[in-house]
Amino acid sequence: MLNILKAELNKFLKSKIFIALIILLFAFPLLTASMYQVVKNTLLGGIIGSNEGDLARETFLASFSPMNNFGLLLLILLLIVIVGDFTNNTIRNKVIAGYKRSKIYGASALFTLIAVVVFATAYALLSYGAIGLVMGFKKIDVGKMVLHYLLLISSLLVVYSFIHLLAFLFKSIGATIGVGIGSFFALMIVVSILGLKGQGELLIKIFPFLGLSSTAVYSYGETLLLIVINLVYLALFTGLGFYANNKLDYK
Amino acid sequence: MEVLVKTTNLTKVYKETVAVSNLNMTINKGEIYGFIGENGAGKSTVIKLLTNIVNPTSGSYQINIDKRIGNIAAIVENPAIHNSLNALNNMVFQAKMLGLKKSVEELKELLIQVGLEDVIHLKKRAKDFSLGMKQRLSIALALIGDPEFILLDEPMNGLDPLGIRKMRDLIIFLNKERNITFLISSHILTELDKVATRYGFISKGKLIKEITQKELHKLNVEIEDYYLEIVEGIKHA
Repeated sequence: MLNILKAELNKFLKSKIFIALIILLFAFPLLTASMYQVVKNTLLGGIIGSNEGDLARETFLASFSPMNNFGLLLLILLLIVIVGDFTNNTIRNKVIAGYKRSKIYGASALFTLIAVVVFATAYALLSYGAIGLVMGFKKIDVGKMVLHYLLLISSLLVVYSFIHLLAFLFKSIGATIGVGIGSFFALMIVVSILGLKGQGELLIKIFPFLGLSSTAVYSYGETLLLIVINLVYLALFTGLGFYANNKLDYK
Repeated sequence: MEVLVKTTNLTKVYKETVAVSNLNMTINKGEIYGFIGENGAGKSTVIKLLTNIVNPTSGSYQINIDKRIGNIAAIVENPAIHNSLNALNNMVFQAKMLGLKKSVEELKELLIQVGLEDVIHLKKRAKDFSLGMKQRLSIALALIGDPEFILLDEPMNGLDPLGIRKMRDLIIFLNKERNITFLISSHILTELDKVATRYGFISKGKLIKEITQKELHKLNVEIEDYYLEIVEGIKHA
């Protein structure tokens, strides 16, 4: 499995997709920071600047959503890499060579999750730094932030483990994005509706990964519990992926 | 002769279509086994089953070979290459994926062996290659793991006459010099006749006849006539 992973990472690092992601990684935080710089001394800037919750910190927390500009592009570009193995038929080379299907799926899933952790973390840190430099930093509880970071990154891993499973089932970027994002939106709508009735919090505890678009911060105990629930989902979707992949025909 | 491949009642059903039905066949070590059948007869599916690309619905198969990675190679339908990479980088990726430490010189040597010496130093990406070049690159990729068994599905498809000759010479060379066993499916029976040592005829997912090259020559009939005779026989049965 490690040989496949190493080969895939090596290929990815030399690809145009990697270069595009690196450009986007710096471009979006810089653009956002520039925008804040422009409006900083206006009335709007005063309103934004008076934000009690610290803009840089909130930007950091909101950076992990797969629905923001970078999040969506990361999703599409990584899907091009994952599904490309099917469209080029190169996944066949791995199975023909004698690798077990579980190793092929495992290497692909690991590649995806590594890429997501690296790019999402880098994007969040760059956004935090860029916005902080323009709008100023406020004191943060580092321990709480790290724990919350783990909650957000585990939520993102759940979303991507589901997306990765769909990519292997559909072997199509369009269908994967359609069903994946569609499911995410459908659950978000349910949470919003139930939130109006005061039951949204309960659903966030059942589906913690839906909190990716929220900047809410929970207590230590709650955050730990949500991380554990996320890890259960991660194991569930990855396990389902291994199972489905074993039954799958690489036609 | 030592048996390399043995299938037992191998069956594959796609939804409601029976692609391969209770197939019992053997391929011996060192053979070039020519697999012949009409379109949709099940040739490609058998190759996909033997390479684990698709799972059997029932039955089983055994390949008596060292289970090391890369010991079996195949080209099934379209050449499976990374379109965004050039020829040499495709080779580097394949070697890394197989966990083999091959030098760039060794990989270049393989490209020369399959007649791709002209593209070694070019940055031209594989997506811009002709079908013949893609086929040859696929063969080079297949050879990286020093396989003992190679399965080729319609390897002459899309090749020009010179390409066909080069492919044929390469197959014979690899069989004779490296003792590689081949399973080759092809529609071009006259070409298959120049390389195969034994034939298997498949129709509607069933193996209907096997004959060696020597037996065929004793009968003093051309492979095409023999095949048509069998097909007519089925029709009248």
